[in-house]
Amino acid sequence: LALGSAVAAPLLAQAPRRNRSFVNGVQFGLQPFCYHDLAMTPENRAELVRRLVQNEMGMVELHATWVEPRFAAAGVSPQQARERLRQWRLDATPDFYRAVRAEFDAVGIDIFSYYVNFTGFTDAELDASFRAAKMLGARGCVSSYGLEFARRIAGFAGRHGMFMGLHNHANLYDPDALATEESFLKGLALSPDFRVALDVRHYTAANGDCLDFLSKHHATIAALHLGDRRRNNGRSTPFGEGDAPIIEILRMIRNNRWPIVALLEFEHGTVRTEVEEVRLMYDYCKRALA
Amino acid sequence: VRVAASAACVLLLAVPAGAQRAPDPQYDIAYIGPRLADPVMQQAKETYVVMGCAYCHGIDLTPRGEAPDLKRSPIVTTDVNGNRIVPLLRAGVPNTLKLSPMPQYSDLSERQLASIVRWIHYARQREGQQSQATP
Repeated sequence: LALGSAVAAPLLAQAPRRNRSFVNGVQFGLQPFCYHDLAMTPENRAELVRRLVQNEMGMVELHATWVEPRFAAAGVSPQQARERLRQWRLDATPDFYRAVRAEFDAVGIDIFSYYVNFTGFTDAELDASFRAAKMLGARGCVSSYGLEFARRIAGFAGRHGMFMGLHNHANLYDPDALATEESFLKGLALSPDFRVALDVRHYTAANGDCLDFLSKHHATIAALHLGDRRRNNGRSTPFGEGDAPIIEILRMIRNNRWPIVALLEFEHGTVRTEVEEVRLMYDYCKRALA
Repeated sequence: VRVAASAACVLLLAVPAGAQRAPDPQYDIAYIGPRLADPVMQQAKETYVVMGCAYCHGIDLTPRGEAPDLKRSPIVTTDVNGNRIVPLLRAGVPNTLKLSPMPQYSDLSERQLASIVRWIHYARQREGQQSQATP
């Protein structure tokens, strides 16, 4: 299953521009789920941008929830709120998304990918989300889903000249889940527009070998969600305390000059502020590449 | 040391009255809340947070994402001194159709597991008292 060479060219075309979080050969960014204390809402978007700058990040995977309005309110049923959001997505103007993008552009932050929870989406909403991602400057969309949904969404990204990310969790029980090398290969076989968004933590917790996966399938990988966890469905840990080979991964990307974005992400607990924790994680990575 | 302490005193005295102290990056008071008077319970809360429980289940047991609500979980409501929670923490919940199975915490000490159980019961009880106090 040598998928690498077949897709290497388009992936390189989607490689990000280098910016301030390009460190010694590796482009870093942030999965802003890291700011656990900050509700992912449009109202908090300015604070998100401020923190990204504080953490010296020049790239981000932006969740749609930071962008899209909420329609839940007193007297509005969940079904009504969902329908209003659906209609809003279909009606949203390019100017709206350009204005959001401008907020990030103004401080030198590149929106690498657009993370959307596609649960319950109509085909028209799926297309609208890729249009939105494109206007935000993203190279592709990422979401958490299984192989069944992968079959459904396989044709969408290519219509918009983007990639669709296959993102794994550590579920070895559900045969539909993306969790192992085998499941990724099944997903990648469904469309040339699929790219791996490899979650290093979950892949490690699912007893996968990240270095082996990178060496064999690097040409299919758009980005990493970079964090640490223990094997055997173990817990998330601060960088360096789990089983994920973070240092070796970063050096492998640098030494091979692979255009794979390393998006810092953590789910481990901390009593420190999230900005401080991200700073420590980023420092760990910088030292690995020094 | 004395010179450093003197310098610190001068700096403290130089802070205008009423000025806010910079937030401590080593303790996120806005997220975790003020330190509790009871050091045992404070340690229980910090263990619950640091081991990652709060990430899914919330510090005050308000869950997010796929995580179950520990305020209403039958495992929690029928637990006595960790007899139901601790075995679940040790094993995790790998056999699930949820996207992200609950991790296992078999590497934690008895003391750390007991701290997590202590915080869950305390937070649940506190939440119950607050609900009753709200008209």
